[in-house]
Amino acid sequence: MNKRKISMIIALLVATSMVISACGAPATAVPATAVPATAAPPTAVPPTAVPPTAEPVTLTIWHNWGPDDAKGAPLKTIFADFMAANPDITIKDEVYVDSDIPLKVETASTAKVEPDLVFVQRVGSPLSWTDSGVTLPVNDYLTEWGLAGKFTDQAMSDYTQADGKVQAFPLEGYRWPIWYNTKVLEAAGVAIPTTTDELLAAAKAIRATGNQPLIASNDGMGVYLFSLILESAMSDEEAIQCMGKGDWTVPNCIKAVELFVQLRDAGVFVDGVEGIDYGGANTQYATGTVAMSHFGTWEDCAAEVASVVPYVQLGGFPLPEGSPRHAPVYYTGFSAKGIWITPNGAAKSEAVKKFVQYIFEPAIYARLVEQAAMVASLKEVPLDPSKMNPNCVPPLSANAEVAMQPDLFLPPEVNSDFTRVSTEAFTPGTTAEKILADLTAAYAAIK
Amino acid sequence: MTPSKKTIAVEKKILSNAEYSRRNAQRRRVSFIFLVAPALGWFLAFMLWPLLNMFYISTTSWNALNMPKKFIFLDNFVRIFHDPKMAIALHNTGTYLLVGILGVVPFAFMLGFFLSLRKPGYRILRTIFFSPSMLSVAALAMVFLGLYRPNGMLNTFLTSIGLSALTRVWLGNQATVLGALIAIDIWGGIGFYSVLFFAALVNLPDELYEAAMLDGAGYWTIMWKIAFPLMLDFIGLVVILQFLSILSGAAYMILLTGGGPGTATFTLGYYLYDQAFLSHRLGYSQALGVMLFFIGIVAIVLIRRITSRWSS
Repeated sequence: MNKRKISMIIALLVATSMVISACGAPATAVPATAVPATAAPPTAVPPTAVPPTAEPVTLTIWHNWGPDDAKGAPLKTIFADFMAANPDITIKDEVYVDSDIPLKVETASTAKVEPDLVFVQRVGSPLSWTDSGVTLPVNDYLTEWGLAGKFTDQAMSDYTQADGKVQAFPLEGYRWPIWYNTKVLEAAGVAIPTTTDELLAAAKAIRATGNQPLIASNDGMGVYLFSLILESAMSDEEAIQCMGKGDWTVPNCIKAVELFVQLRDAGVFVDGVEGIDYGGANTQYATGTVAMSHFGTWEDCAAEVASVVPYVQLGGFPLPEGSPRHAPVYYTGFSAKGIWITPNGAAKSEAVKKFVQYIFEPAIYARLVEQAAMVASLKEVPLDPSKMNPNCVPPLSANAEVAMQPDLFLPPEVNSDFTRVSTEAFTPGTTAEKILADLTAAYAAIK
Repeated sequence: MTPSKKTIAVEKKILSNAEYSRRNAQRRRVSFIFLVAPALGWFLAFMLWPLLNMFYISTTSWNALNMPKKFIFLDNFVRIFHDPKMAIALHNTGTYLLVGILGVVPFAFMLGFFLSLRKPGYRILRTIFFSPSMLSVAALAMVFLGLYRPNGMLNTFLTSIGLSALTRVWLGNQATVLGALIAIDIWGGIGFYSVLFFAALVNLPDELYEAAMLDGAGYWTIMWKIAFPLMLDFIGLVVILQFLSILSGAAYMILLTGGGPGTATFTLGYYLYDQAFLSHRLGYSQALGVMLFFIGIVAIVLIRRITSRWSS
């Protein structure tokens, strides 16, 4: 073999090794003690994964409580105070849009570079995280870290799978009622409606004053108002039957769709409701010319609607005659935000333990409730009335009944079709028969 | 008889020449492989491998990135043929393609021709026409969201000129929403393709236009009787680009309508997105991707054949 051949082979080997090393993950990407991203049983707390507490540890947390969220500021102080109390632990938090977090976590997880903790809602793909190993069940952590029994029963129930695995620590609850602008209602000479007839009369009176009745949008906000209106005419069991299982022949399900069409055609929704997006709905409601809106807890302290907050009273959606419900309906639950522990987080379990215990200390946790009107998942939270944020809407005080949130029973595969049908339902001219046919077809397609 | 010294020398020279040629050819082969290897490696790793992977995933049932895949062979493709949503998606995509191509290509050609005449100010116009292509899709979507809102610019304008009867909830009305999205594509596409046409038309010899003008032809005649036939191959290319862009595109549906209201903007491209990112059926979404891939190939072949036949 001559020199030219040898040098050629060496060059090829060097080039190949460079390509291979460039394609490989960076050496720092995977911690040496990281737990593989496979499903782990509830008892799987890696004993060798605990780093010495004296060594500096960085906890990476992904969440969506940025500066625009009322919970952003108190969370920052919680992080800062925690790091001051634990100088060996640094928190590196990254803020993303809530709906973007699941996919980001999943893709990061496949490369084993996921954050240690994720604050995200228990909706959509996170439902499968515990089984697929993206996150670990927290059953053992609950008892070992002294948090068992601290959370409300419903909060625990919302995060517990059928097989008993608890998917995350319940961090935030939510309440999703109807916001009634009492100033607009008073101008129309009507009270907060509790029945469909009262709602129809109120809509007419509100329009007569030049204002608009109930606002919604053609995205997520609209679909939940659509489902809430349907559920005002049916029981939870019937809701599961049609919205969960696709049997739209249930009499009350048919009546519910007909009710929706009746309300739409009677002008209960604002003009052009089918073309309004969430931002537009917020803006329009903030003008103080709209009587009702279906806003969740996340809007309770939002600056966008601060101008109408002094006049807002929360309540449920009015009931039609013959409804199996006892009081106007609204949604509530605890799936708004949980603290999910990833395999990377489990590898730093001592630091994670300290942080989780810290944030769930009632006095610390209270900051989020006081400053951001957060619905607490802890049973006991010592609140200081003088620290309550005056810019948030007051809690729901009216007589109202909780309807089962569709996220709990709507099949994920039908979610996007259900959303599309709901946007269609808001469009004038769409008949109840068409809505029922499209809903039936959407469920049939996944069978 | 023993060979003479001269004969031996000649034979040695011939042999050394042959050896030299052999070694030279070998060296060229090695050099060729060495030079081509990076491009080939790039192609295999970043083009062929993902494509093969798409074919493989399309034969699986796979519900999340972190979930295991289950091999189901052709079940996803069988499902496509029984999927009631396919008819809706095909219908909407067909409408989008027809209007999106016919609404863009002729006008882009005419604008491109106008630019190629290099009248005063053509450089500014060229920049203006091309500017929509420099905006991000998200920014454009926001612009048109503001335009199409119930109390947005379009309805305000119509009302201000006494045409309030024509105001609509453009993105919320099933009768107008697909047209509203196609209009965005046409608006951006005409400008972009006109600049491409301009770049191709300026390469035509000026003598052709001058001769035609001496014969009394006007610009309209020159455009359609001279420039158009000469540009048929390029027009075919533009049609292919626009076809593929519409076929797999879903950006405006994702950003503005979510495929709705109802199924009014539910296209094949959006269906693929929906299955991959909303309904978490990765295997089925890739089966749709394979289908789009083959539709694209068939369309390319057909369009090339049609334009070649016209050219000849």
